[in-house]
Amino acid sequence: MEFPDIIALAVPVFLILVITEIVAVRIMKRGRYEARDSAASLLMGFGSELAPLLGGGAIVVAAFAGAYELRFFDIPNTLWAVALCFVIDDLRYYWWHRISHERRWFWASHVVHHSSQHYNLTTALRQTWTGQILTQILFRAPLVLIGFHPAMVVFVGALNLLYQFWIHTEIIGRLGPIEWVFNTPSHHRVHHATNPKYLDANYAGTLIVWDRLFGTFVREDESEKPRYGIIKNLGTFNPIIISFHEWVGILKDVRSAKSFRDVLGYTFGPPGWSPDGSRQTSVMIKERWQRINGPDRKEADARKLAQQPAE
Amino acid sequence: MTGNLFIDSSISLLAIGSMVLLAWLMFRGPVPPITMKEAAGRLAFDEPDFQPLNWFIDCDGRSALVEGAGGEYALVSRLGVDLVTRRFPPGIALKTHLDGDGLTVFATDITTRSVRLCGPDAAQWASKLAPISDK
Repeated sequence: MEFPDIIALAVPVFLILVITEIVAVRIMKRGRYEARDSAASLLMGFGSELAPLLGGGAIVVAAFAGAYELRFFDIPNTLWAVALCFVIDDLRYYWWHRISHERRWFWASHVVHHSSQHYNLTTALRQTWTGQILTQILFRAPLVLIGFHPAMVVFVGALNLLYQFWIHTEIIGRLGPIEWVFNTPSHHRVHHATNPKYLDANYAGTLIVWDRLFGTFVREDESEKPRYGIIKNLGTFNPIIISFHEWVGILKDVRSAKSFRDVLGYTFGPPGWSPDGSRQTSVMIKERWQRINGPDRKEADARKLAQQPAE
Repeated sequence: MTGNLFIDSSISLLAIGSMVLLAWLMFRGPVPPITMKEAAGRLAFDEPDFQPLNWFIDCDGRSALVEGAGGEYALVSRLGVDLVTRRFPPGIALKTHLDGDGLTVFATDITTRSVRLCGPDAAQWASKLAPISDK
């Protein structure tokens, strides 16, 4: 069974769809394009394809080859195996993605993808230049170790990435029953939003069922338009700064750390962690929002109202 | 793609250029100057507990410096059509440079190095920030 390089084959399709979306967004007036933001996103995508050529790609190939030698089972290259591998890889994607948001070391790479204040098909291509070696070895090599052929693992990963391209758009609304099972533009808009009620949600790649299963699913609320980007938005379109800014941030924080605990917290704690709590993690932001707007507040208001003497 | 890195990269860069050009053609136009309403709205979203008191809006409408309750400051600046905010708690080391009617505030992070504001109140705002700069 042959596994084609579907990402390379899809490049012309990406181009056609981006051009179509630019025109559609202009006509439908849903969202907008910022040329320099798109340039940054596309150059990040271009760089992410070149980055493995610096040596990381060879390390991953060697790691996969080693893992395949030690495989637990001999899984044949059949269609059912591809389907099974895709589902397991999608679960793998969910957890990799969730950890990439919850631990700063992984966030330093993944933040790149979230660093645009726009949400369109070029945002899908805003990919990281760093962190691939650890990601592939920690999260993908186990599939090879189980017994799926490395080429199959790479193929299903590419298929997953390809699926996620089209969901980065504001011009597609809700999709009915498809929303129950699959990740959709609506679900993924929530994931890219910085509104407190949308934080830390919808990590799925292809199947949204993982979020429903693990309690991280949040539905897009018609009354609350997503605001895209990151908590502290970047003040630049420079791809090099976009790529490395969080790593520089970690380095600066570690240099100022007063204890080994602080070093660990700055490096592997949640993004926004600080020893004195002076910065805000997404959990803290959500808690503050819930205090102001959440059910606790509503209950408190209701209790207060009930305690008031009737006129 | 051809399999030749140089040719493939050239084709990709050409495609990127064409997409960016189309986006620019479709959405080009003057960027509106920052208004107090827009900046306040953005600050309210990014920093809900920041209470703006006094405003210094750049004469070119590219940025705004805001004094908040409790001696803290915030910067709001344009990035393309979007806004970027930075909040400076009281006492943070903040460098400034006054040049006639221009006040440059050097932010402390790698992605927003400096923001220049112009206006007749520049000197007054420079002196307001001086205690922060001196600390």
